[in-house]
Amino acid sequence: MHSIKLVNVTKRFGQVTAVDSLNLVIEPGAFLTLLGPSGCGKTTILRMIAGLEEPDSGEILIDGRVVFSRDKGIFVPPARRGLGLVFQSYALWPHMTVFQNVAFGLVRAKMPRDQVRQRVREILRDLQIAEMEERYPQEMSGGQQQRVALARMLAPKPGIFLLDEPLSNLDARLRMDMRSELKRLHRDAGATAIYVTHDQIEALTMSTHIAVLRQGRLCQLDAPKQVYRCPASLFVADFIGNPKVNLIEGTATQENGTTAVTLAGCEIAGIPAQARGPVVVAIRPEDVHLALEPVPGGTEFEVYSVLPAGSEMVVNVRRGNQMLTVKETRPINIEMDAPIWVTFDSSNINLYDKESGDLIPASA
Amino acid sequence: MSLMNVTRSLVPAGRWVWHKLTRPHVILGILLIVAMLYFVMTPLYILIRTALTWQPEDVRLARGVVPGQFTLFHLQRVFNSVISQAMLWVPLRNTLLISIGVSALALSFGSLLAWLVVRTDLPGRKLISTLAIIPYMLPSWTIALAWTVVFKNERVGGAIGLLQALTGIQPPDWLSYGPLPIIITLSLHYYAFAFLMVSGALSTLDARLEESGEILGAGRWHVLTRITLPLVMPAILSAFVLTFARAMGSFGTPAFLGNPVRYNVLSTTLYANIQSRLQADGFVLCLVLISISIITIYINQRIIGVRKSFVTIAGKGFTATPVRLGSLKYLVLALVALVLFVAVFAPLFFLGYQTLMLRNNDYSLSNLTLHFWIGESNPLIADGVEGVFRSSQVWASTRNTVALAAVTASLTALIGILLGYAIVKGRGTLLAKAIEQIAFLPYLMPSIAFGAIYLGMFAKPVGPLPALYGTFWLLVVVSVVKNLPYSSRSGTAAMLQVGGELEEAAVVAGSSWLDRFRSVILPLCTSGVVSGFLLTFITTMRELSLIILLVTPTTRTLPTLTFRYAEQGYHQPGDAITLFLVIIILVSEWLVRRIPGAEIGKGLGA
Repeated sequence: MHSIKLVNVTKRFGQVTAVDSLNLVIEPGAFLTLLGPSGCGKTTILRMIAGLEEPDSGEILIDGRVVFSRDKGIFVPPARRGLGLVFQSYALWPHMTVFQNVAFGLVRAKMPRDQVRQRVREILRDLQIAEMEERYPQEMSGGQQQRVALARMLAPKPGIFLLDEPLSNLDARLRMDMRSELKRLHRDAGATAIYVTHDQIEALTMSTHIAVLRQGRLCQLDAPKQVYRCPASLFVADFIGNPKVNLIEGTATQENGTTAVTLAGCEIAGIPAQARGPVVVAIRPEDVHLALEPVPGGTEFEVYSVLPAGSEMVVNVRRGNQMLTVKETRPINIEMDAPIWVTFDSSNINLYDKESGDLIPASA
Repeated sequence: MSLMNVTRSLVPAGRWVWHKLTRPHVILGILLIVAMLYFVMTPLYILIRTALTWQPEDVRLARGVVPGQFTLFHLQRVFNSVISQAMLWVPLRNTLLISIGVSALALSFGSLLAWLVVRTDLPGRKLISTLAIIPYMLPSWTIALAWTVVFKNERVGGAIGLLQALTGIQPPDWLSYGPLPIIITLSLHYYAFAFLMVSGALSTLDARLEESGEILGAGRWHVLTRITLPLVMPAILSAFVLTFARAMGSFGTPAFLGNPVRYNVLSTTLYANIQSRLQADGFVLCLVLISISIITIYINQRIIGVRKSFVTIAGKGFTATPVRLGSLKYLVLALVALVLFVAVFAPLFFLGYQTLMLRNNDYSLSNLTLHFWIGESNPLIADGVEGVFRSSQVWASTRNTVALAAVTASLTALIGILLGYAIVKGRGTLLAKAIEQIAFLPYLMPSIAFGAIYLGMFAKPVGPLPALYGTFWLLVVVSVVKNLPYSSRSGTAAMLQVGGELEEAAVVAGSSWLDRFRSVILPLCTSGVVSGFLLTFITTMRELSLIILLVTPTTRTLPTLTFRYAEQGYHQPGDAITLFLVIIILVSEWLVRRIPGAEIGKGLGA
């Protein structure tokens, strides 16, 4: 099991600062996802850990050993960092067979020929592409190429897996299958994995930790559940979750030790956070409840649109200028333009400072 | 801070700089720059130095000559003396006339043909586009030689041409020799640039841009002149510069069609000066040629610089609905077929016919013989010249030609990959930009001038290099260096296709630079540079202007041997060698074409 540590790492490309004095500690055995919109610096971070890119300043440590430090003049080349990398494009060599692709690193590591053969066969069998040994990458489907890329990474038994959006070129079904397989591979190998993606579902389903990034800065590093339930900032709240969180400006007041907010003419009491004055209220679509008949404490809205999606439906409701997105899992019949009554699950509501966009913590 | 601390902080800093400088593409880039500067700038420097100093041979021309001392004597002699008219101004005027004439004619025909092939329903378009490139693959003087077979007249040519033999009318000098035939025959060779570039631009042009014009109510003519033409303008301008520069530096055709009537251009004057050991004067003419070329390219870049953005608009392009030629279809086809016949088949036929003629004036069938192909030396015929297939000189030249082409093309391809690697890997850095710029320099120099600047170089051993003058390797060096602009371009394109991640994957797997260059980069680039290899192979095989000043009897190639024969007035052997060369070229083209992905048009890449 291997730990990775980034200390004050900065990387600039010309005028653009891709990574801005980043500090990041990755626990041994973790499955850390670097999550963020395109251009947030996540791939650059991965490439710096791999050694394919050099930071302008800062240090990178693997297992406590400095592998990069400009100040100390240390640069450990990628192959001596004990890691494997899967590229977004897979980067399979088109002029080599599957066998040659997977054996490449083993041969360079001076492994005896018969052992190479044995190891490649073993890994191809594990990944269920044993019979494709003699094929060329372009003679295979996208899913099979993906497996070859994984096999090539796994063959030298690296302690660290670096995965750069490995599933983004697969179709939706295959992606689901590969997610569970990757999770399994990580567990079985006992490796530390860093996984780059812009797909928040992928991040939430696979990781032990998620690092949310924005413009080269770390916004939040937490377990997936925590990132989803208590986003540290409005940016994270907005980025994580599908359908998107409802962000509504409101005014907070104190009542009997809890907080209440008033928004769009209705009051929600019993919010754990301690706040007063103007705030931004974040309500997950699944924390809004709909009723077809008037209910106590319910506020009347009008149905704006209904978007059924099999097991669930997304309902947009409106009151005056205020729109709310609601996730409804019950198979009820909702008509567009009909009146509907809305209540909130106040214990899950987060409040954010209107100025800074930071989460207002719950009272201890 | 104590000295101890300073050194302690200097060591890591030094290590860092060392690490940055020893990255493979940086080392490679620096090596390439040094080599290119050496092979381009040194000869240019020697050229300028020679032009500005007294030469030993000047003793017969002036007094007070101290060889090696600075003098403006040569400049003055060329620009402002009694012989300036003959030496510079008249040839300059003739050169400009011919270059402009060739550019205009070749561009109009090439662009029109491109449009017909890409955008209309002309029958046989595929065959036409294959045939259209053939004249470019053949030696440029092929058509010129064929022209003399048909149009030469007895008064200047010494023997009657086919036209006179058939009609009895003696063609006037202006039809037989001089600017008109030079412009026509060069245009029939060089229109391929415009054809390839414009058809490339037209076929990547998004037809929807034209269709939107049509939907908005523009007529067909309006769409052509207001939408299509401006969009392909960059391609047309590039073709213009290329044609202009090539026409200016071409030597064979002006020599064959101009010399008999003393119609001199800069390239032939330059050649004559150097042959009569007036090297320094010749070098001044070189500088004039290079200057004109630089000015043309500069103007072109100023114009294209603004318009370049157009090229990026060109998308994948949908197959447009072809323009219907209607009732004109077959008339146009007939005209195109006629021109292609004149450019491709007629010259070969006439040359072939002439090689079979025993006596020069007799076009009857009874005069036909295979003597000039397979005959033994007979002192009664052409001073005892043997048939080309019997001549050891021809076979030696054939070996030289093929070896030169093969070595040049291979080296060019390899250097192209190295250049591409250094440029693509260092993208955005000063080093990469410098490499790109320096590799472009030979483009500025017309072939004959470029050959001339190598005259003074390598006459003596320089550094680790032995004296190369008179050796095969001098021809290789000059050919490879002249091809740098094209090789760097095709190498960059190939390297961009390979993509960085394929190499990085090998880095992560622990592969050293040499190992990954051999096992990953080189194999992946090969298909990308095959077209470039093919183009270099063929153009080197038929190269005359570039090496005419540098060959010696032992390093003669087929084109230079042809020139030698023609200069001495032996038409049949010269024609036979040209035909032989054409056959070798067409066969190699056919062979290399078997390699998937190879296409001569792609290699042009300019």
